[in-house]
Amino acid sequence: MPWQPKIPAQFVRPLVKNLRAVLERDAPASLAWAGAPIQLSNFAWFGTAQHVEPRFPFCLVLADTSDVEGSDDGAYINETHNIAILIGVNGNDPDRLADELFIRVNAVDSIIREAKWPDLLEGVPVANYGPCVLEAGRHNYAQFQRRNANQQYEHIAELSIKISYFETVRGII
Amino acid sequence: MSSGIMPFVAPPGGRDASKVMIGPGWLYLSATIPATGQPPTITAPIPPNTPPAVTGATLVGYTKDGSKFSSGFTLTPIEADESKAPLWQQVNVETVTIDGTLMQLFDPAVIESFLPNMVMSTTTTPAGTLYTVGGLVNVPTANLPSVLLIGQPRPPNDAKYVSAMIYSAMNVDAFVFNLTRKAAAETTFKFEAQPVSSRPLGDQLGQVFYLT
Repeated sequence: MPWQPKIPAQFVRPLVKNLRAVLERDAPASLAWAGAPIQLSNFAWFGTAQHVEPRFPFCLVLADTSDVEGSDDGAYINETHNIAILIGVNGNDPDRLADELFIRVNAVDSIIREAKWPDLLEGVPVANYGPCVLEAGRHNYAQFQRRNANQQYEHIAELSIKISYFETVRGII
Repeated sequence: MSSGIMPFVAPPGGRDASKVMIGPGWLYLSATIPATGQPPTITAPIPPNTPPAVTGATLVGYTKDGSKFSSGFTLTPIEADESKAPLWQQVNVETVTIDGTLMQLFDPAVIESFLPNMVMSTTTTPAGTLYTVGGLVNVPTANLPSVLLIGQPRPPNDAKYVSAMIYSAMNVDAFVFNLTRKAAAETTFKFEAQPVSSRPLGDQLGQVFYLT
């Protein structure tokens, strides 16, 4: 008999990919709203991993940890995915960077709260996942600040979000 | 006598891991009630991790923490002035229950059995299922289903199973759905056995069956 999973779970993979796509799609409109009347440029780089030489400004969706627990009746897997979103800006004026970071964090947070489940879980059959809960949590503006020899500053903020739902197979419990 | 290592032979009644039970269990409503002296009819052997087909039954679906069967009774001691100990103990009330927490609340075919004092009807405009409550004198028979719990005590790949059944069950827990943003609605249930007087004494509430 060919191997097959009891529950065809996909865990955090579709979430990270889809959330990145949602942020890229909605960022221009959200930045325009959050920064008005200041018109900020769009993020130059949307990614799902950190690079040694990032392109600024960036918005990264990084999987942090996933808490996974099988249900007591064996029917589904309860999942809580902790995801970190890093937002980075650079320039030669730290005061302007601080304000820009506030705007960009607001824009990203607003996109996440407005995100629709069919978008976030695209690729996961609707019948395979249970009710979803999204918690947009801490904003950490002091994540990473530094200056290089050319008097260029980098400011990075981190948003912590938590997405919970269960994955299952309909009918087979 | 050889000098080899003596094989270990467990004495009767000794420690035996094969007699330990573990879930998950599957909960069914309205399974066909077996004749006295018979277990429920399961139409196919139990493959690993898959609920078996049971004649006439509806599989309940997701539960939060599995389901629990219990059977107990109360005793009334009969006393006399001349004796400090009771002369005998009278079995007073026998109670058989199956309880748990139901997750699939949006399922009219199942929910009806959890609402003993409600009357269900279907509507066409708009199409839906309507439950009304208040003033009912007799509980509808449809609201007193049989309840059957089946589990594999020794996973995996073991066709053995254990079943516990209530022939006529009334949910005595309040029906609740709590609509919040952070957690799925759920309701606890406690099916309590109602006596089936047409069955012989000693078999009017329910049964437990071990496939050997």
